[in-house]
Amino acid sequence: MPSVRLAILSNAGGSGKTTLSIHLAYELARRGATVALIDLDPQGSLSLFCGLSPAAPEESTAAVLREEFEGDWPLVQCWPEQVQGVELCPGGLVLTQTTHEIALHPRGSYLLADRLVDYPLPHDCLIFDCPATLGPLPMLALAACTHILVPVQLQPKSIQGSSKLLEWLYLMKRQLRLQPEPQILGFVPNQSDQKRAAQRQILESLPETLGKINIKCFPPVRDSAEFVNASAVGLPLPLHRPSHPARKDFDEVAKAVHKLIGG
Amino acid sequence: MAKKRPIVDMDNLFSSANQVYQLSESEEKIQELTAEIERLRQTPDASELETELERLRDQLVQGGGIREILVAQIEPNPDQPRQTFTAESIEGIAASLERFGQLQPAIVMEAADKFLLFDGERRWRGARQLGWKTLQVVVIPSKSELHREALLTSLHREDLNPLDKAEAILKELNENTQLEPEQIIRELGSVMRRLSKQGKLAQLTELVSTSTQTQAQGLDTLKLSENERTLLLELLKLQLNPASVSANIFPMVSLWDDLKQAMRDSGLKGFQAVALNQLSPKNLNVTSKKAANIRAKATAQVLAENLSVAKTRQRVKQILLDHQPEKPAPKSNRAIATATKTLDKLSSEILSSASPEQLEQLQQRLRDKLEEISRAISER
Repeated sequence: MPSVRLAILSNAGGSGKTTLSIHLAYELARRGATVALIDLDPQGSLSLFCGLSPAAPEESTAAVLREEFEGDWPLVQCWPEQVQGVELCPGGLVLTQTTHEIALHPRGSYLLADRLVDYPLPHDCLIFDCPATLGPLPMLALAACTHILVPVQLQPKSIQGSSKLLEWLYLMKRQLRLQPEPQILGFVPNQSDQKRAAQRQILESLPETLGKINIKCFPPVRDSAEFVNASAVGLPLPLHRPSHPARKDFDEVAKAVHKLIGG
Repeated sequence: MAKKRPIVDMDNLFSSANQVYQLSESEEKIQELTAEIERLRQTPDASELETELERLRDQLVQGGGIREILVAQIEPNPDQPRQTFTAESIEGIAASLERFGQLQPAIVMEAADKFLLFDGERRWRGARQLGWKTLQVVVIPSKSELHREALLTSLHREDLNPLDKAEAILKELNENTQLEPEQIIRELGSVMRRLSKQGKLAQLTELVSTSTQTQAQGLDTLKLSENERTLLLELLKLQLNPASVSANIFPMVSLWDDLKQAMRDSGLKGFQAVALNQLSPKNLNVTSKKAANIRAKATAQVLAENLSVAKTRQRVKQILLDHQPEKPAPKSNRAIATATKTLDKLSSEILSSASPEQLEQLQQRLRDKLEEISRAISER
């Protein structure tokens, strides 16, 4: 099993999970690492953001979690013309079905972790993109991950939501009796708009607030329409607009993860 | 300027995360403590010691019961081998007392109108720090052999530092052999050097963990003087390796007082102290006051930077190099110094008793020399 398995967790919609996932994957690949993006989101946005058409149920993460899975991971290469080393295991609506199956399965929350033990992936890093809930699907990621990244919008509702997320994390870590416990790698402030006073203030005090509970706050990713445009054409921003200043906003996070990989 | 009122109350938004964080921190702390207790239990010495103290305490509680006495009435045992109580360790025990209360009574001895501590000096110091008026104790009758018992119970504790150990051992040997401490150190040093030359050290070391009888017989084969034999037997009885006591522990006694103080109060390690001990007035070529200052500065550095023994030695070497006495003055300087001194010797008595011719001759020579000196100066 790869030593770095990263769960991108947030219970808020639109907090930038998928954006963070693909940019991180791209940046790691650019640094020479191999990455598998595992989509645990029924919305399957990762496929869209990678410019791939929606996957059939038997070609998605749902198939991996089924009893009859035999190790044939449905991986698709992302941006093969531009960069080597990023593969995607797609999500999709069928994962809502999986949610019910997990509830009935005796190893429910450990299904994904078990699959990775039985049929390990050769990549340097796995990234689990989770849905915006605190339900069974993120639990799969939690039980299988070594590290956690939390993207958060600089808005009171999102901040409060992330606080609830930490509460949930704490509870789940105990209930799942994870050994070793996954480490929170940090928070990534997203869609940062420095023109708004409230955002400025939150961004200013967030590192200290997080520092008090021993969590790192990465530099913010700015708000830009180009992120939306890039996702619409299925590319990470640096491939879509190579000279856009926001392309460097993921550097710190990528550097931290790359270091974990041993790069 | 008044602080601008924040738009967003981050602490409030983040309150649930703060709560779980604190909860998980204390859970971790509890886990750590549990592991620590388990670890201590598994250390053979500690467990024996604890069992022994536990047994003693139980007996005492049953016999005399726990009493509550005034903290002010308690005095530390001057014979307590452990004299090292860092501020940190007292802080620790104080925090524990405040939080969990006194879990175990201290053991004290009744002595005239006061109580001497037998076990529980850290608890007592912690209680004083917290301003507690009373402490729970069990009282044992005064014992003449107190030192030996206290020594035996704490000699093998790892946190007894070599200085405390050295002084405790010396005191014990002094009481049982009537030899003075200096003599003990000297005699032990000389017998160790002799046995080492004869290649018999291993033979001696083997005796450490044998019965007293075997130890006595073993010593008979080593051709020792009466004093040497007594000393070695006493050390072996305490299960101490005489070679190690002589090489590592006794040198602590001759350390500078400031270094001893640092070992007791600030946790300076024995080998660090031995290295720093080289910073003597003689080696540094300065007054003792200046040397003490240099030592104090170096000691503070060693502690602050937590230097390893090797690094400490390096630092000391550098300091000594920096204080090398100046090179002996060149020949010309010495000649001038000698001439000046010789001139000084010409006292007014000598001059008044000299003949006028002699004086005129001298005057002429001096005039010539003065001219030469003026020239030498003007050429500079």
